Formats: sequence, structure tokens, C-alpha cells
Amino acid sequence: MTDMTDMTDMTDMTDRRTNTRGGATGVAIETSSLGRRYGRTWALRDCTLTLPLGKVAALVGPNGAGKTTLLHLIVGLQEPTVGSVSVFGAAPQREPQTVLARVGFVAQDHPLYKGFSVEDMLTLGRKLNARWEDTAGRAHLRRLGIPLDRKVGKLSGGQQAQVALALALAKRPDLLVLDEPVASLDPLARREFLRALGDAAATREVTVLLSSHIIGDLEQACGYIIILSASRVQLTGDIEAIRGEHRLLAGPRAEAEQVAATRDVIESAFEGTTTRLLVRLAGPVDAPAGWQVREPSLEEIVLAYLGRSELGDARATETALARPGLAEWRSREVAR
Amino acid sequence: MIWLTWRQHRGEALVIGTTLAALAILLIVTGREIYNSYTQLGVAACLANTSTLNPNCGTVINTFVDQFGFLHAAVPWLNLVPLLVAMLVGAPLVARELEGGTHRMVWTQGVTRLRWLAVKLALVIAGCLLAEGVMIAVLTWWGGPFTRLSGSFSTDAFDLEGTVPLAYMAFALAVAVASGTLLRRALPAMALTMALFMGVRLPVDTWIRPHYQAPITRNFDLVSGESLDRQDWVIDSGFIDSQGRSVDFTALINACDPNLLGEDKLTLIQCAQGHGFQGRVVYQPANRLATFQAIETALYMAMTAGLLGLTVFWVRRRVS
Repeated sequence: MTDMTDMTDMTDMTDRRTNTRGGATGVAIETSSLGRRYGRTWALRDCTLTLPLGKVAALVGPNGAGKTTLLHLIVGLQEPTVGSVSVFGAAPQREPQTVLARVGFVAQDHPLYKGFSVEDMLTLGRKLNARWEDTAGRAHLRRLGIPLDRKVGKLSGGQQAQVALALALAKRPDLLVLDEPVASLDPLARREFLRALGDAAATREVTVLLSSHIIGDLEQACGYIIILSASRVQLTGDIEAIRGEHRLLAGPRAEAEQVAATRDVIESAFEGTTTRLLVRLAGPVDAPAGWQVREPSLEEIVLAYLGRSELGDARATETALARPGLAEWRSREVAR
Repeated sequence: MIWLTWRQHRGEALVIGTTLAALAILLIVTGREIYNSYTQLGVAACLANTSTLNPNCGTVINTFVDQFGFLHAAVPWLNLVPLLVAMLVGAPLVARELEGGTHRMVWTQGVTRLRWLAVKLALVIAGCLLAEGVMIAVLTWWGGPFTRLSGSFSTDAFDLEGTVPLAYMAFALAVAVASGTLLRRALPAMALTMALFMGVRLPVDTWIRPHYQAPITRNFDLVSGESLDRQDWVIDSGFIDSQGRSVDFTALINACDPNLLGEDKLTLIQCAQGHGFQGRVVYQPANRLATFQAIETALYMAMTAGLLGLTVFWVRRRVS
């Protein structure tokens, strides 16, 4: 397993494979027991994940799940409290130059200098980056009809997002990280943005990681998903494979317990006398007699895992009640 | 980075440059008049040779001071220049980025945030020091006649000559940048900058500076009077009785005849001297000026270095 070799590499801190493209394993991002605490609250905890090279990955989860924290740890804006994060084999905080040169980042609300013209922003990118591709960015913005001499503050939200994307792409990054890039955009601008992103990802060798709390739009742009909830990673993998591994079973309520007993049930719901189970398959589909089976949508899977994580947290809170201090600490975190 | 620093601060540079030019013109125009008057009234001649004092010298100096004293009295307000510049330029330097979230954009370009901070600080501080230096140069020329009258050691002159004004500027900027980084908001950072800058400068001026070196205390005959240099910095002066205790003027009157108060002052002084009273002056001699400038400069530069170190620490570790 590639995972195993990577784990051994992680423990060997002297092994820096910074110049190879993620090393022989083809890994863009790797985190190990990564956690970040603000004061006494954990924003991200025990996060272990691997993002292979070339994936266009969606990081989904509810607001406050720790998505922004994870992305900030990846681009080196924050330092881990515990654990480690490596981007192309380098630690973003310890080797910022190595990582920053290869990573394009669009922060939440795509911050730009509002008083700068679009042209000024492009100059900024050219002056601050060793690798810079001016013409593509300009052509892209011109195609979208964004005037280069206009002040950034005078552009619409969608146009500002496009300028921020153009800036990040002009770095010719090996990894593009976007924090809620479409959250503040109207549906049309959202579609245009994701199309531009998809085009860029298709024409370049770039790994993309974008966070979102809106699941609907992601399937068209992303092939990989990381589900983050309650500051922990719940599920990660190729969307197609994940959909293939899950089924929605619907059948009589009376048999529900018996059906669920032999299966990995992620979520169960009742509608009158009907039970709906979202199960994870261990092998080929084995539909119980009299039950309906269908492939769930990505949204259904995501919501099921998010629901399960809340349940998991509730259980944990119950067991921790015996220790008042810990229970209080945890409930505060759940509230967050 | 140089381009970005200029692009972000060119507006402020324009404001500071224009104000500086206006101030310089004002100083040059009034300065020429001061120098003309200084020569024409004969103040220079009076100061040149104190042993053969022109009996009119008192009047001459008074006339000169009456003519331009109001301008000279306005000059200490220029001590606020570093504070104002720091509030305008320094407080928003990091805080504005944090307020707008743009630090996440600019710190994830190809330049590390430490380099970003280093270049911005270096250029902004250098630019502000240049402006302050030009102002101080013009001001030192302008105040030349006054300096020859009362020296460079008095609080009015000391603060606006030599290297200390540059140290104040660097210190003010460091206070402002650190405040902005700590508070993450430009407006509260401006308020904190004002409080900290005044909170350091006023106590240092009043209580700490007089003790950089132990001041000299000298007792003198009341009748012959003290013979201090014009350039010496008198920190305190008063009277002592025959036991050497500090007393005020009423003690002299009470010891003699209270009725003498309205009479000839010389009679009173002779009487007081007869009772063993002496004058006492506490001062720093003029030849210590360079040392005092160096000590105060070093003091402010040390605080500047400390604050910039804190800023670097906060930007590296705490802010994201």
C-alpha cells in the first residue's frame, strides 16, 4: 500500500523530498494526526488524510467544521498545534518558500486590494512570484470582459472571485487551494467560476483542493471528496468509487433491524412503515428480498456522514458525562 | 515587494511630502527674517563677547525674543510629527491587511510573510526617517539664533536636534506597527499608539533624562550670583540655609525684614547672605550634550528593536 510507505516517510523527518513532485508516491498533501487549537477549543483534530496528485478534491462540511483551519494549515498561514502537514513533502510553516512557490491560494471571500486596479493586482502577482504567467491570466480576464484598468473594489463579487482565481492560476501552481470560492457568488457567477476552474484543472497538471458547504455544484467540478465534520475527517476518496460503495436500501420497518445487523449502516431514517438505510458495501450488492436498492446521490452520502458524525459526538458526550470537566469541554466544542 | 510597498504607501508619501515641503517653505521664509533681525539688532555681537557686555544687550535680546519668541514657542509642537506619521502610516501597516483579510492573499504569494514584513518595515521606516531628518535639518538651521541664546540642552531644543528626533520617529512607527499587529484593527491601534508614545516620551523627558548622568549641584554666593554657561541645562535652582537645607524665597524674607520685600532687592540679598543663605543650582553642563543625545537615542532604539521583535513574533506565530 502506498499509504504505508508514506507513513514511514512521515516519521522520518530528515527525509525531505522537496524537489520531486511529491516524491515517488504522487502525493500532493498529506496530514498526520493534524490538529489545531485556539485557546481551549480545537478547530481541527486528529486529521489524517492523503490527497493524491492530480485530483480535483472537494473539502465539504458544515460551517465551523474546521475546513478553513485545515486549508490555512496546508498553505502555511497557520502552524499545527499537534501532528504534521506536508505539501509536496515540505512542511508549509517550516519551509514556506518551498511550499508557497508551488501553491496558489484563494482565501475565503477572495480578498484583494480594493484600491488597486486589476492591472495593479497582476503586477503584484508578477513582482511577488518567481514563477508567473502573465498572458494567460490577462487573456482569461479579457475573455470574461473584466476591464484591467478598473478598480478591484468596483468589480462585482463574481468578477473579484475571477480576478483572485486568475492571480492564483498565473502562479502556475502545482496545487491550487480555494477556501469557499463560490459561497458568496450568485448561481450564475458560481457556475462560471467552477467552469473556469474546471477548464484550468483540465488543461494543466494541477491538484485542486476547494472547500465548500454547498454540495450541489461540486459534483460537476470535483472527482474527489473529503468530508470534514466536528473537526474530524469522516470520509475521503474518489466520488465515483464512494458512490459505488454505497447503496440506499428501502424496505419494511419490521425487517429493518435484521437487515441492519449484518451491514455497515451509515444512516437510517423512517417514513411511515418504510425504513431507508444508507449502507456501505463490503462486497457486491446484496439486496434483501423485498427491499428497493438504488445508488445514492453524493449529497445523500455526505449528509449521512455528517449526520453520523453528530451522532458520534452525542455518544461521546454521553460517555464522557462521568467526567464533568471533559464533558463540559466537549459540549462547548460541539456548540462551536 | 518594493513595488508593492510603494504602491500601497504612495498616497501617504504624497501627504507627508507635501506637508513637509509646506513646512520647509514656512521655516525658510521666517528663518531668513530671524537671521536678519539677529544680525541687525546686534544679538550676535552681544553673545560673542560676554565680558565686555554692551549695557543695552538685555534690551537687545528682549527685543529679539519678543519679535520671534512666539514662533519659537510653537516649535515644540513638531514633537508630535513622529506620532502623527506613525498613526497615519504605521498603525494600518499590518492592521489594515488583517481587517480586510488581504494578509491571506499577500502572504500566500511567493514571498514569505517575514520577508514581506521586513521589506515593508525597512522601506516605510527609512522613508519616514528621511522626512523627519529633512525637517530636523531645516529646523536646526532655523533655530540657530535661539540655540545660541539658550543652548541645545533645554527640553525645547534637545528633542528637536541631533539624533533623538530620528529615534523618536523609529520608536513611534514601531509602537504603531506593533499596536496594529496586536489589536488587528487600525483605529484602536492609532489610539494605543498615541497613549504609548506619550506615555513613554513625557516621563522620559521629565523624570529620566535629567538623570542619565548625576547632575552637578553647586552652591553660590547670593550677591555675586551664579556663573553658569548659557548652554548649561539648569534642572533645578533655589536657596539653602546655613545648614544646607533647601528653603524657598519666603524663608529669606522672614529671616530678614518682611518689609524689605518691596525695597531694593540687593539689600534683601545682602541681608540673606549675612544670615548664611546661599543659592543652589542643579544642572547638567553643556559638554554632556553629546552623551545625553547618545543615551536617549540608544534608549529609544532599544525600545524600537524590542517592539519590532514582538511584531515579527506576532506576525510569524500568532496571526493568520
